[in-house]
Amino acid sequence: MSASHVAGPAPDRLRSPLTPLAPEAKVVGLVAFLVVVAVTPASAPWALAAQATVAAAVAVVALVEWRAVAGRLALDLPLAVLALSYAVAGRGPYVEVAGLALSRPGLHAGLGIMAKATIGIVAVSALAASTSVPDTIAGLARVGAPAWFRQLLALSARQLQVLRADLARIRQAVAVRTASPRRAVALVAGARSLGSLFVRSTERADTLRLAAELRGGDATSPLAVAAGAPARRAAAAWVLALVPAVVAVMASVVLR
Amino acid sequence: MHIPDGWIDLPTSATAAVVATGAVGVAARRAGAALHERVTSLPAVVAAYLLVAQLLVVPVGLGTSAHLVGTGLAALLVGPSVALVCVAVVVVVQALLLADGGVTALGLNLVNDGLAPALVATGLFALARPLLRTRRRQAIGGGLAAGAGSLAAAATATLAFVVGGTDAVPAGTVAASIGGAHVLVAGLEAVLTALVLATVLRLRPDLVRAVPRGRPTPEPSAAPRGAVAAEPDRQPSGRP
Repeated sequence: MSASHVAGPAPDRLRSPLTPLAPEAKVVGLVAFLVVVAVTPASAPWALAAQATVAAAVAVVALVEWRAVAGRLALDLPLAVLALSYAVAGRGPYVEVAGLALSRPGLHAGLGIMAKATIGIVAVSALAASTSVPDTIAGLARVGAPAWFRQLLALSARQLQVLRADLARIRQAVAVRTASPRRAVALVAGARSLGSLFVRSTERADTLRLAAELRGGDATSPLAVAAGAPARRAAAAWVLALVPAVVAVMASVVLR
Repeated sequence: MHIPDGWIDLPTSATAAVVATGAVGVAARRAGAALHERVTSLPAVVAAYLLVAQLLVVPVGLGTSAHLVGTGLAALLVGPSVALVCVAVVVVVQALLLADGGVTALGLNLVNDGLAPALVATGLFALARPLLRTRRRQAIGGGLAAGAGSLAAAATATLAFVVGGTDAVPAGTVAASIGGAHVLVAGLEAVLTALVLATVLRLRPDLVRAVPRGRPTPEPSAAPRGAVAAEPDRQPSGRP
């Protein structure tokens, strides 16, 4: 297990015009943009549409893989149900849609939530596509996340890959021994795999601590992601990263 | 199911963020005191464990599926402080890297998925501890406690909605729908937590922090809390 798990160039991430920008600027820009989206009232659909266009444009520039975005948008499905329930259960006045009396404010609120969640997913995808995990963590560190949290994030991101592979192996072993088409048996087998994985994981945590001690220093130092020097052209990065938020503000003011 | 961007208004989200930041700060300090030098490696591994555990999805019909949230389980396994720190990592990773859950709703999700279930699950389990003398009962009790923690998450989500949600829909209706969905989620959480706990209790009972230790362990924080008779330490069988 080397540092290359995290530090190496991610093979599945294309190099886009947004990649070299300072990650802290990108993170702050994303949060600012999403805050603006969150305060845009759902009764201003054109403003939300404009903000969605901004998010989509940034995602295109960031060379987002749209198949991955589509997978994440599956998270929107429960929200569609929610929007529908708002429309059915909401207060009056009511509008007639396809023979159903639907609440107008409920419809607005539900669709607004769906729109905002979708914008959020697309915008985060743009960040994720253009920023490697260690860069994102370093960016968080430079905007004031405490050191312990940054180290935890870095180590977790690395362990995630290890544990995922571990779980796949355990599940295969359990599945071979308890092969059954019945769902309940599969559920028990899955839970048993998770229990086994926890035992292995804590043993791994001890190994990690031991390894860190052997390398000298405490358990945290070799794993720290250096906050490092800010990326070059930082000022330009900040200006660029805040453009979506500014455009979103203008959209919400003009198109209200 | 995480709270997405836009479901709750900004003042409520900001309040929740302040509460969550404070709680995680306190939890981190307590976790550091409890774990000594393991402060980084154990929470990091447990956070990764929670992220992986959520990949075990169970179809519940209508094309949707549910998965273990794992906060109650983690709280029982490593204590509420470490669990809360882990959930903070999980929620940030999911919001910023996986686009699951709103970025402006980070604080809300941390209160919902972290603070509420962790405190309720460990509190209930501690209350019921005198009844939980066998491993079987401990596993079942832990499952029920985690299920109750999941219901507590539903309660805080409803509270957030009443305070900061849209007024276009009667709050009672929303409470009913959130509660109804969470009865299912809590049931699944209870069953899965009980099964995972049963496995861990069989393999390494000393790793479950919520269960009083029957035998001395090298960890300094593991001082025997009461004169609970030790169960005969069954050797793990060949099965994982």
